[in-house]
Amino acid sequence: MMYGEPTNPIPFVVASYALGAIGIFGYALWVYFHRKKLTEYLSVLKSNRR
Amino acid sequence: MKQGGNLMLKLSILFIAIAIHWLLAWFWVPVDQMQGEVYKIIYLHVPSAFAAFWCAGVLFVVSILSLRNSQASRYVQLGKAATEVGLIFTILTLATGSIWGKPTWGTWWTWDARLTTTLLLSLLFVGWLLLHNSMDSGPSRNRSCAILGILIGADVPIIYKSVTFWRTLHQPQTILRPGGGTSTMDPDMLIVLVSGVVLMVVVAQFLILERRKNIELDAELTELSLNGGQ
Repeated sequence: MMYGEPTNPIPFVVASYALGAIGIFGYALWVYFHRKKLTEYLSVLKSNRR
Repeated sequence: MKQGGNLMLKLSILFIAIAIHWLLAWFWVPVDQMQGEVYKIIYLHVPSAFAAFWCAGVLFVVSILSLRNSQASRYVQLGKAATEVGLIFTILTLATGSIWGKPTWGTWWTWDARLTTTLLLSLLFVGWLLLHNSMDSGPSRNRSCAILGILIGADVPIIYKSVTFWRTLHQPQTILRPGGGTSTMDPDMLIVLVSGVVLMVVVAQFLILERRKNIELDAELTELSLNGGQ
């Protein structure tokens, strides 16, 4: 076995990309659901003004 | 709502683009002769690093604009969005680098120049958010955050050149070799790596702009609530 090559590299690769998916997609989805909530609240507040 | 539908459409396109890139990285590019399959973390690690640098660059630019006009809140709103997204990508860079380092270097962490300066970047991003949250909105906060934002931007060239300035464990520049030499990477690997960098920078910029819209809406909501809906 060459120096540095793990016996099974797959868990390392899977863990990395799982973290990437959680970080990037998780943040993006949070932005989306936060936008939905904000636009809903704004819509209610503005309609109460009338 | 139409606005929400548009955002979900844009997010879906980005998710599909990322998924295609990752599938290419996993199944199409050849395996590295020395490191084997574990090297494929590079297709997430390097693009994340460049995305983090992009966010720091955006923060640097809006910080300078904010210093010129500290009354305007739009620059600090953009700065906050860039800082949040930059922090996400910096943490991702550190985490994937650590996961890659264990099987290749035999350690999760070392106080190498590049790792240390990247950790510093993440701490600076956190510091910016803490500073922003600790002060009331206004020109004083805008100026303070702008000064820190400029310092954060100044860390990026140090991180990038750290492998050239100092003797480091981290591998030297791969895409652009020092002295202007061409990359020694396999062309298939290089094209997927460079396309990944471009894609991740686009994703970062998209997230910055969409997050900034949310911050603006939040500010509008706060103002309307304080004014009793009048």
